[in-house]
Amino acid sequence: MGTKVSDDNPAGGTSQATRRQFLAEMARTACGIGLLGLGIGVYAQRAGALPAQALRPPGALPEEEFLAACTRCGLCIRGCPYDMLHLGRLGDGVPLGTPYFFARQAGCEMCEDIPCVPVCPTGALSHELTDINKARMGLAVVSDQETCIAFLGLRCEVCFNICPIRGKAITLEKEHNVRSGKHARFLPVVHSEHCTGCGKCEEGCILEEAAIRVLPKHLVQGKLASHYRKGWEEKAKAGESLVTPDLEHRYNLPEGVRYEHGGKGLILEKAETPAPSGPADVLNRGLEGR
Amino acid sequence: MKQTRRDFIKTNAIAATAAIAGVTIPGVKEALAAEEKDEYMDVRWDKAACRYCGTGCSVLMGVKDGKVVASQGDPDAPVNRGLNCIKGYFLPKILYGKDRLTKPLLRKTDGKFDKNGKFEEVSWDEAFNVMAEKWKAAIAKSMEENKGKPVDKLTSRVGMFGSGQWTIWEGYAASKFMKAGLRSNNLDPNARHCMASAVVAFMRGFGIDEPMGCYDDLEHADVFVLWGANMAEMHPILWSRLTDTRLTKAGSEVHVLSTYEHRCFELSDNSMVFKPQSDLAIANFIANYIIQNKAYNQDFVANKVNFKRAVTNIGYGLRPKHPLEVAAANNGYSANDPADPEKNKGDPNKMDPMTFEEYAAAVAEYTVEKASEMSGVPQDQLLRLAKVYADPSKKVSSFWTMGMNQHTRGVWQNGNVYNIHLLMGKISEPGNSPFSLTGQPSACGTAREVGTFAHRLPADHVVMNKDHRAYAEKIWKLPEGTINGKVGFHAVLMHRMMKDGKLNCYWQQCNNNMQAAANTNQESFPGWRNPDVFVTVSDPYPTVSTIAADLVLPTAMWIEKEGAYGNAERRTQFWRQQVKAPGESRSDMWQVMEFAKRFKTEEVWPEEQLAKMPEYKGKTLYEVLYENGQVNKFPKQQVTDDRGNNYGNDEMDHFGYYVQKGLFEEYRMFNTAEGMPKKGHEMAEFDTYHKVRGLRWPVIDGKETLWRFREGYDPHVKVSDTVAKGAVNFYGQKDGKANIIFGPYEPPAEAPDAEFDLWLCTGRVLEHWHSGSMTRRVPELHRAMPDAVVYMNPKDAKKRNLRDGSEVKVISRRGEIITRVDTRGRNRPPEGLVFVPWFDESRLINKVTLDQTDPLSKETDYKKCAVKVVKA
Amino acid sequence: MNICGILVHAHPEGFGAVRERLLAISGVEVHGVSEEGRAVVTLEEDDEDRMAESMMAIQTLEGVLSASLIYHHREDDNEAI
Repeated sequence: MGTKVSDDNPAGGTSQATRRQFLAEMARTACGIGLLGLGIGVYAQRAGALPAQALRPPGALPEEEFLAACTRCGLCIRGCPYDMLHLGRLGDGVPLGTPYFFARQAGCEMCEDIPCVPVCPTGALSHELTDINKARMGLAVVSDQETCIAFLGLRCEVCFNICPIRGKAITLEKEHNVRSGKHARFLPVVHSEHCTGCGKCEEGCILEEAAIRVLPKHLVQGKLASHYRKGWEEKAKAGESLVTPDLEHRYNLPEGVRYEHGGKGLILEKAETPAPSGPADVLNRGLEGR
Repeated sequence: MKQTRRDFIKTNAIAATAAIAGVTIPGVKEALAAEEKDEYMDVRWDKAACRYCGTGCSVLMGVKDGKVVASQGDPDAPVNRGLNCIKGYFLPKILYGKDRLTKPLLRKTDGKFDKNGKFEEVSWDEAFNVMAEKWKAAIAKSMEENKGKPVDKLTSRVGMFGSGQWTIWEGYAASKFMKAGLRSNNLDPNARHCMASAVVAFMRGFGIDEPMGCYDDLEHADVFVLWGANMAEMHPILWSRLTDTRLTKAGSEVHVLSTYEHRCFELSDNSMVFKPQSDLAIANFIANYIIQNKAYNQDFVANKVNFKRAVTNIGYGLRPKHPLEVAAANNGYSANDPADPEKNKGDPNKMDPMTFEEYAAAVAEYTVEKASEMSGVPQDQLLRLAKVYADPSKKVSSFWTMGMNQHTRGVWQNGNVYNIHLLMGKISEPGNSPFSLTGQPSACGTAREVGTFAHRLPADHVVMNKDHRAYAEKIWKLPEGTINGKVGFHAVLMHRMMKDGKLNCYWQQCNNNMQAAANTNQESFPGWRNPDVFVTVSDPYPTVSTIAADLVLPTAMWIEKEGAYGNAERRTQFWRQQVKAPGESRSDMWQVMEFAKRFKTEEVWPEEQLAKMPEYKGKTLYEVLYENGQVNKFPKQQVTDDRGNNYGNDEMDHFGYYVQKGLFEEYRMFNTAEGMPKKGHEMAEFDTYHKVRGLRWPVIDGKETLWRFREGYDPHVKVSDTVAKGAVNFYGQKDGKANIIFGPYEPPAEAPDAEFDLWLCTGRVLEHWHSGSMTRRVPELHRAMPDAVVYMNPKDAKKRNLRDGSEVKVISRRGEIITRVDTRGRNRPPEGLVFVPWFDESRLINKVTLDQTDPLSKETDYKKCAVKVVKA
Repeated sequence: MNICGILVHAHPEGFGAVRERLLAISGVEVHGVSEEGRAVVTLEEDDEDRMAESMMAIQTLEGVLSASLIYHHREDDNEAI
């Protein structure tokens, strides 16, 4: 004890660096050492686990395998044409020297040729990934419906518009706005089947804190109980009812009223109007009697 | 206790550090809680119309300590009921961009104005002195040239380019300054680029401008047809209303026509991507289908319409020496006849009467086979569209914006869609509505209604009509014969005339035409930088225009002044001044009125005019135009609301009277003063509008009008011998009948060929407003949509060895830009067409576009020219 | 305006002297200290270069074991505050 912090401060030697870089560098180092100062135990516990918001580049093996395979060479970071990948440093909470990105800072641009992957010397970023649309870096989730302005009925849809897997990974569910009575809401819904976890939606979210976030899949995704099937999907798959279809239903009904089984239910026929029953009638009738 | 901002930040710093240190610092928590509460206490809320599009949402702005600190959608507004789009969500931020202009800037060298000098800060006095010197020299030259000419042949070397984003009284004050004061009709708004085609079609068809329907059509229609409007992005709140109807009304349908797939296709039941320009054939096919199947409304056709045939071969509004114009028989240009220099080619505006049978014969060639072949839309889809129009039991609303207006045959095509509605009598009633939407917040209220076009006077009056001029002169208390009867230079012509040295002074307010006008390299830029031209730009922010200007005037924006806008459904909305503009910024109206003080009547009117009213001798234009006993009629007062809040009014403080009220009440006289040649634009009194969420004109006896021209809805239509109860009367036309005007297919000016092998279409995006001078200063919007990309079909990209994200050049015969390819974005063009938005000042797509216009409306066609795309 | 929140760790027994040395640096305030010697310090300095120097000075101060930048706020002073 008693050693002064500055003795091992590498920033002390960066006399050529600009003042600003110097300041940033020093602050980072100071913070890192500060954390150490708080108790090595706390920091050591964190070192093995990736913070939830840190995402791996496309093609990364499952985290444990990835950590074993990654040689911390930094080639993937050099391969990224958009400079959005970073190297884990002391204090980042990311294992030292491994590549990661924070979606909110800059998401993956999903280059068609995935330049970060083939340069990986060990396959920690799997070379089997050749179609960027198959990458699974994480999974987007609309994490806060209370602040997402689309849920408030406003016309935003930035996440939908910015999503590179257009119309598939994020769709807009249109819904009647009960409060306003005459507008529709355009609600973003994420589909795990297509979401690559690129993070563009979180990067683009216009709120002060993003209401849509990209997190490692296991933190986001629910799972239906294994026994349960979606009846409508099973029926569609089979092309018919799994159980003998219903007989024709018949009902006791007053005049002018119909009942549609499996459809709209009770239908009150419109009162007689001078308007013809359908356009074809009119068109075929010509001008007689007009 | 009130904390300073510094205290507050320090408290935050202490709290954050203490939390990590595990130390409790007394008082910190309480101080932070107090600040949070304090920040939103005593916020004054007041209403305003949204700054952006023609939808006209109402917003509530929260002001504290002279700054807008909060905002919300106005829950009591009928248009948006508390909702906003993403641009509206960030409204307060547009006032506080870091680079607001706060002082006049003049190009100078060695302390003197120099066209090639560097911008230096100057006082308002110096700015106006230099500007007035230039303007007076140009006016003196014009007066010399006009000697002995009749009033309908006068020309002028000064001009002003205004805006559909001007407030109503700003447009009115400018119109009066230019037309009454300087006798120059070289006043045109950027709305020329936006909906001039719609205006001309309204005037030709109905004799009176603006839609007959209103937004309630969105709830009453069964079928919506989009003819060239990406409402999902450009009218976001209207789109959510349309969507809601589609979701909740059984049997409702949406048909979308466009030259590329856009966001509206997500809701579409019948999606039609047609080849550029072939919309003319599609509309005529529908008319033909209706006639062939005898589905038309015979009574309506017999009693409510006349048939006309438009003169054809009218050219493309290019410069006269362009081969296409040399070939055009009826473009109205000089015939180059040495024997008769006055002789022009045929008048493109001409229409010849025809019978119903002749009309039927004219559209007969547009069979479904032909329309399908020309447009590329499958026959069954065209038939489905035709059938919904032809079905008398279906209420159909047609919507369009730039897709139809920015079209070298935009007036014809507007008319062709009216033809369909008129054949069926599906017009002027709830749900049956041909509806031309506007892009700008006050394209209707300002650009159109108060007469800021080169041919217009307030309330639908025009300069070519002697009676209209006389009526305006009477209201304005001018000597008879003051108003110039010759139509002035329109927007596109202004740039050409600047380049040719015939327009020497140009003042642009409230828009960014250097970015917006087509063909920057060949026309706009050389025009502005011509040494014989002096360009003044009034803007709150540095823009491409200010960079190209000679004098830049810092301008108060939006709620930094008392204002009013009129939206696309004829709704006029007012707001009070909420905050002060920064530095020495002044409103456009202040600038115009102050500048008017620099001109003596003798300097702008010839002696014979002054002799008619000698009392005006020695007076300034400011005195004649604004201190005329009408504009200055309402004394200075404290502006308040019904809750007892007080508001500033910088113009009232400066000029000493309630300027906005005086200008508006004088404008109203155009529909109340005796002897009025035209009715139908009646407005409520000034004070009323401050109490309501807008009213749809005509407002008569305090009641607004929802659907015009129909008895029961429109007080101008009364039951008579020719008008039954609930029937229509198109009173804009003398005989009460609308015109069905046949406009055939004619080819576009420039189509792709072997070298320039792609169509280019330009447009907007949801996140940005126009040229981005406001929205690109909102970091969140910038992050959401940072750069303009070129949207391209993946097959076209592949053919050129390009992929998503590739850097490319988009090149035309006129210029090029560098951008990136987007093959998977919001817009999905078909093969052979690319789309580039124009909001991005670092990628000026108008360097590439062609300055072709509709020869009738003079509106530029930004939707069609030929380009190639190559790797950068 | 630049305002920093800095966590300074010093020996608790000698903190009185450390506090005085800290306060000798322009713009520094000490708001509290824990029993373990963790002190909550703010540094206000409008000039960025001088702020960097002051931060270095805090780190190299006799008796200071570590100094960590926890909070940094910077904004332009173009409006009256």
